[in-house]
Amino acid sequence: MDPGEGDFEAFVAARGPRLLRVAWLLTGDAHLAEDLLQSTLAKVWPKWSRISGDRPEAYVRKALVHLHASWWRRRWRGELPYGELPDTAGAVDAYEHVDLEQSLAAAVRALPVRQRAVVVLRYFEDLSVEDTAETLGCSTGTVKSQSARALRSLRAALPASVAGGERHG
Amino acid sequence: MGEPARTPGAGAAHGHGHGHEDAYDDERELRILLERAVPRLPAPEERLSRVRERVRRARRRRRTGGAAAAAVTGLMLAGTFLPGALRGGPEPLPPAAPGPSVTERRDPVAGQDPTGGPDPAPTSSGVPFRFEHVAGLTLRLPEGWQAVDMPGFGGLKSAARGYASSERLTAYGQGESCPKKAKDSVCVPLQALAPGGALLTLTPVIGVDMSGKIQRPPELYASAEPSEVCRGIRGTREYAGLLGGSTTPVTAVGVTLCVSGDAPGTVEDVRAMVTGADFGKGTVTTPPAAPPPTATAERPPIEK
Repeated sequence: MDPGEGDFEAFVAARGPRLLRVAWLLTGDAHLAEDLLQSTLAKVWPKWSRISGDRPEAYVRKALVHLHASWWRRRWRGELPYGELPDTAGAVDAYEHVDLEQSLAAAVRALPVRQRAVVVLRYFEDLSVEDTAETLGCSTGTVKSQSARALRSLRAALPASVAGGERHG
Repeated sequence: MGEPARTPGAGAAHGHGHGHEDAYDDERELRILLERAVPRLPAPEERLSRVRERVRRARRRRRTGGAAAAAVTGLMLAGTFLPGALRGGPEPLPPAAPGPSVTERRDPVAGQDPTGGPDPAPTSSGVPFRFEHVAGLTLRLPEGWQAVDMPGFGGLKSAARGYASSERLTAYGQGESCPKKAKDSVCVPLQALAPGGALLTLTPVIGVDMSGKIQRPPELYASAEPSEVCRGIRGTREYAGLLGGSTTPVTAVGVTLCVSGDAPGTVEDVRAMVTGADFGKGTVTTPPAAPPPTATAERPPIEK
């Protein structure tokens, strides 16, 4: 057994489910999410003795987001389009059967990869603007602007009852 | 589908901090919806074993890549520090240093006439061939193979090279016409490989510590694509490796194998030949129990 393997296994057992959900939100596919998570864990495991003592989850989350970004850069042409989402609230009728939460997840996946990462980190992982910026390696201003754009896109893409549409509509 | 919950999420306290109540509510609502939208996926039982296997594969890739890179680096260093080894033909060469003549280059160990005719003599099966100018390396050539031992052509940085091939080789000397001029005026002792043919090139690495890069037993690694020199003689695949040097100043011998078309038997033969390389004075790169050159069974496959 490698040094720290027990700690690593405990970490995976405890935080794996949450990280898998983050991966699912980023990739939109359960298999891809598991693949992304395993790839991330394989990358961080050899360094575990160095990172386990200092916010390992933040490190692993950062590795996961960056690995997804690198996947996206390599594979973006092959990525499944999510353009079938309604562009405006007026198109909602045709999608009445679509579950609201599924629509939201799809709308998140339809965001540009950077905005998607910001949404996932800020609103799913509940990170502060500062921590999100640190994770993504960008400025807090970028996080704020990307958040604002992402929210605008979500409002436009989702049924009116999502993302405050009812209040604004 | 229903009205989304309005209770604040765990991260609502972070907020945007710009005081817009609507935006604050939007974010709070988004957090709640996202939490509900993302499924709780089951974790595969074998996740950790898969991760473990990925780590193993990554380490293997790094080792393979490192060894291949070391081989390439060795060859590049050899080319950098020792240019001109294969330069011949019409190009003016550096002033000649005292060295062996063309005929003296062909220096078979056994059963060969060291002052033979202009063409390299083919060796018989398993007959050792000593590359005097490549650190005295001795290889047991497969049946029907030929070998040429080329000295440097003068100048402190000139390099010697050794060639072995399943094809007929043409020796060349300083000022003589080059059988085949490849990239950067590199002279290759044959025009082109026939389908299934192979050319092994041995390049001594001088003055660069390669001790940490040499594998024992030596391995040949498939290159992603053949080099320009290899393609120039109709090679379609190329392999590279490093042999441990035993004499100073030669610290290693870079090995490249250029193959035309499918030649699995040939590649295996060369691998066995390289595995059994002998630097003389009892220095053998592998234990004496290495398989005979023509045997093909139970050899680890060459990495593709």
